Amino acid sequence: MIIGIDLGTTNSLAAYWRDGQAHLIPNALGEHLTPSVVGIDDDGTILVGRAARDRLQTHPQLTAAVFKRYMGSERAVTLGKQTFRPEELSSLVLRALKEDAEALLGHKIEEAIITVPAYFSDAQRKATRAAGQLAGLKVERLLNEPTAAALAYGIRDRDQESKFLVFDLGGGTFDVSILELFDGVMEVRASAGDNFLGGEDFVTLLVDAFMQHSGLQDALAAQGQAQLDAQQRQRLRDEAERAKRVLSDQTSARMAARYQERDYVWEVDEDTLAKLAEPLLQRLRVPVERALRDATIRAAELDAVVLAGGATRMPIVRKLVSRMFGRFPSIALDPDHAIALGAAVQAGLKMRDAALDEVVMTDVAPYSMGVAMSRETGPNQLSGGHYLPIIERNSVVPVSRSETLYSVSDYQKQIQVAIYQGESRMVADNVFLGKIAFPIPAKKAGEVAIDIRFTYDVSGVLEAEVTVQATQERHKVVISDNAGVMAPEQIERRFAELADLKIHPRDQIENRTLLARADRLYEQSLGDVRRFLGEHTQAFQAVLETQDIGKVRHARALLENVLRQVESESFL
Amino acid sequence: MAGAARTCWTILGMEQTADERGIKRAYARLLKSTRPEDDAAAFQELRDAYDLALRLAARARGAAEQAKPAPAGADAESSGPARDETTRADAPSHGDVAPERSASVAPAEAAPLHAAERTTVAHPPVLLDAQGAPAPAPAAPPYSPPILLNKATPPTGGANPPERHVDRDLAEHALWLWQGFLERASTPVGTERALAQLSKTDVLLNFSLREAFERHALLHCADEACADSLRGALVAHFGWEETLPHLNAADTRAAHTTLGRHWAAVAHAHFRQLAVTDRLYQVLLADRHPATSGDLRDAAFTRRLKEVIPALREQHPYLVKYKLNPDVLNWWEKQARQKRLSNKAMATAAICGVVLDFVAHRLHDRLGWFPGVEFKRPVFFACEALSFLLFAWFTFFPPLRAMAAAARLKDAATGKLHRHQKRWELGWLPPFFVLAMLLLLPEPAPFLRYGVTAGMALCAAAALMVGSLQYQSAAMLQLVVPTAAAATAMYFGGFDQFGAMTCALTGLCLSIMALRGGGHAWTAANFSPRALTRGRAAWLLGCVPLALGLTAGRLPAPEWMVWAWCLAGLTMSRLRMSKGSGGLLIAGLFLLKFIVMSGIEVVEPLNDPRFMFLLPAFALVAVSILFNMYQSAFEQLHFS
Repeated sequence: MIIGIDLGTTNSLAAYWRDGQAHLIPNALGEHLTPSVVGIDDDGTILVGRAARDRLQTHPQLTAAVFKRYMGSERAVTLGKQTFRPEELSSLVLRALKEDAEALLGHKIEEAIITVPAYFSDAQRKATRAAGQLAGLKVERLLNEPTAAALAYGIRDRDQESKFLVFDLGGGTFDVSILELFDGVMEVRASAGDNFLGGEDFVTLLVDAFMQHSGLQDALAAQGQAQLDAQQRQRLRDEAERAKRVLSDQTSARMAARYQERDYVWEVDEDTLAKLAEPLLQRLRVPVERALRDATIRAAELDAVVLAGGATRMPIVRKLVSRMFGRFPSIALDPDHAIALGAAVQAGLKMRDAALDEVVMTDVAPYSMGVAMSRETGPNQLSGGHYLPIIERNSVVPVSRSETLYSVSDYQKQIQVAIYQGESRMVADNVFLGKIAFPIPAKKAGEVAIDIRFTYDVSGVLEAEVTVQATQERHKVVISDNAGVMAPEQIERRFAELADLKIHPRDQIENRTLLARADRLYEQSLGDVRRFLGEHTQAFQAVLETQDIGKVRHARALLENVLRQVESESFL
Repeated sequence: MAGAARTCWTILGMEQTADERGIKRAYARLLKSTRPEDDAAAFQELRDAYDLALRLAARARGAAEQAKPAPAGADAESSGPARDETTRADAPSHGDVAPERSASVAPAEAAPLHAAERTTVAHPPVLLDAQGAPAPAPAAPPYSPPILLNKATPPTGGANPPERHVDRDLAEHALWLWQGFLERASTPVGTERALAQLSKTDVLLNFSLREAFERHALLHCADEACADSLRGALVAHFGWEETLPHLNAADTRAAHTTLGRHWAAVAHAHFRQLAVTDRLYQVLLADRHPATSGDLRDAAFTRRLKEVIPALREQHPYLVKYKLNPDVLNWWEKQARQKRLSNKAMATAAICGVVLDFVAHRLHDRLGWFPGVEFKRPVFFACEALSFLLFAWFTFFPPLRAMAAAARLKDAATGKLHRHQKRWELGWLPPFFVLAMLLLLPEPAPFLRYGVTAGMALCAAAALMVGSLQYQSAAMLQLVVPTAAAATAMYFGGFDQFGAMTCALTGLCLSIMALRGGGHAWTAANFSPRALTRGRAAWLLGCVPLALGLTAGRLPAPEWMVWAWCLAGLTMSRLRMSKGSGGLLIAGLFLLKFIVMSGIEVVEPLNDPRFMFLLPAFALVAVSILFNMYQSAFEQLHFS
């Protein structure tokens, strides 16, 4: 069985396909969303999800979040004594999701379809694949997130003929896809996006504004400090996140923080947020416009605009979408769930499920890929560093294209082929992927021809091969030769090491999560509330020691009630 | 195209059609058995066929629509009659139709529609002039911009009747915005301000509105009357260069014209910049061509014309189409193709004439040829005429087969030697100098004689190779005449102890040095131009006592020094002639020759024929160096 996994910046979730429908997989807590947070517990075991999310505040040094943003880079995170690469942290999240699925479905899960932002580069995709391998999953395919969201929507009315745009603003990435549906064909017409734009940026915005307007910044400056320590910063982030959510259904929200025995408060309303977020909202328009243009579809031709990703809950984002398209966006599916459901649909397609017999999905390459070349600017004048796209963006994948290039100077002995991805005219402004230099027969300029063939598969993995026409010699360009990508041997070694890590037992996760939450609230509160919380937590821990399932369940309900009470009264 | 089209239809298993729906259906049916994840190659073939079929179908439909008398917009079929009317009004032309429309239609028709729509609108009217810029279009006041939510559809969707009116409303609004923009953007400063305002405010947030606005802009830009700066700014602002496919869907002709004009303007600006220092672009960008031009006598200029004009046509078709006068281009192209004697060829011919005259003189004196001929001016003129005739024959009836053979030979020889070029550029000169000095020995030993000949042969080979890498084979053939002349002159001029072979080889080296120009080699070997200029000045100064001594009938220095001085000068000169300078050089030469001819009695007491040979060489080098110095000073002035 193949499951579909939405490996998100903030939250991850899994889904599977059965009986002609996609179903979400609940985690040990019975929730669908598992926060993409990994932490090390006091006893050295690995915690994933809500519990780790709560410990982000109490133990920021032992917890890691938003690592998806660093996928495909070397940026390692040190938790306690151990150091993890971003793909390793992701693999721990994937492993938790896998276990949830195994618990629900009752058999081993070995294959998965993992979604990635359409704008993920080659290195980032390879890192995601590695994360899957590290979690013991064979990654059947990497699916672009907006394509997944579109699949989730498209599968519901697969017999219709329509064109719609998916506006997917997740925690850390923004993607736009335009999907056309006809005769059971789900065709992605164009994708565009921004890899560094998501809900987290709005939170950062609120944090910065709070620092400025509440006087906290000045207080810090007076102390000669540049910024808050990690713990306080995380608490402030959580506060901002809460305010952001409050603003989703109320017109104003109050943010408060305590620093050195003083309370700092700032009231933020919708208009202020809109003004603050103006630069971010501006950035949201660009990919939408590009996708429309690339798909050669006029905005008026779209049948619907579909929202996906948690950040589209924000009214300012919805308002922007409404104004851009002159219509209200469609939100028939929970934006948090759409991507995972779409991944499950793809899993169904991959498994050749009978219910999906008449459905075919085609995706596109979200960016152009090409090589560096010299261009003749005049007689005997060459200028180097120009970009020659070989696979144009939004070509339907899988795609294989080739270009023939010629030597530029007389008797040149070798040619260097450098591969880039991007849309700029000059390669310097594009992303470098890899290069190769090889000898060619020394002949006059233009007499040596080489064919460069790019092959881009459905998962978004690029292969490049160069053939010297005269000698028929072939050279393969290595693209993964990049610090941000793990070598296969390295993956195998780390797989064994990670398998040895002690994971918090799944049946205990519910209790652990509750304790982490209690700890967080304990740290946040003061005085009586604090004492009150402490007593209850201790009582719960005492019951836990007895290992009596019935009693534990009872005590858990009790503590949960207390915590809910404390949270709702917002003793902050 | 036809072959590809047939294939694409056979792959899709259907007859050629313009019916998009049918193509899609066929593609969908085949896709079920050719899934992208299963067989990539087969899928790509199907997909390429599908794309091609869609394109062909769209083209066929476009052709069919154009055949209809009624002007139909690309989007006419998708909207109702109200939309159609808008398109028709926009289609014929741009600026002039619009104002009248907005004045008469907008206030009257827009208002009631608004009233109907306002209920759903929660958006304040758009403020165009947030920065207090001049008020928008005069026609604006009675008209207030309509809604931005153009479909009052509930999220569930479904068709609603007011859509058509809303569409028209949108078109009105776009037109109104465009006119306001145009008014403010009419000055270059205004363009920037107006564009900044567009991007700062949210007026174009709605995509449909923006599309309509862009269409107005596009049609305006396609017109010749649109200022280049405004067009450039709009192209950059809307990123039209990158989104040609999208534009094509809206209005193919306007898109192509706009971008073509834009690219032409960009290229024109670039070449105008070049034309400041480059005469070639100056004449090509001119509005008209001259009746005749002296520039054409400059061989380098003509050669570049032959290269640049086709390159311009190929690489900058829009520049040629929109900005350049085709007559000018054609005229220059035709002129460049005509054969004419270049300045350089004439100068070389003149020099050869002098040498020829000298040779004849020697033949008469030493071997008793041409008995009874008095060596006076007529013979000199006859020699010059002969030399000119030879060069003219070479120019007008070039030995094409010989040239082709030379080119083949050159290619075969230079392939392997190319990488040594830098080393040999100057490398052959020192041994040549030493060997040339040895030529002055009065009674050389036999081994020295053969040694010098062999060494000279090596030098000549190296010089030929370096020269051949630099020059076309025709130029190499041209070497034959001056080399023959120089060799004879040397043989009869007193270097005869070493035999004709040595003289011929030395003559070849000297001709290459003179024609190719040593100055070029020095700069190629990374000597600073300033050092070269100083060297040239020093050389000229050194020539003054030499000239004075010669006229006084004595050599001011040992003869080997004089000989070395002459050779050193050769390496520093560069025979480069542009318009006018060739004539100057020839005139100078003739003058000198006359001075020398009249002063033969004065120089005669030297009684050393070798210096008779040296004299024209000195004169040539001196004039050439003077000219080089003048030109580099001039260029420096110009470029600073």
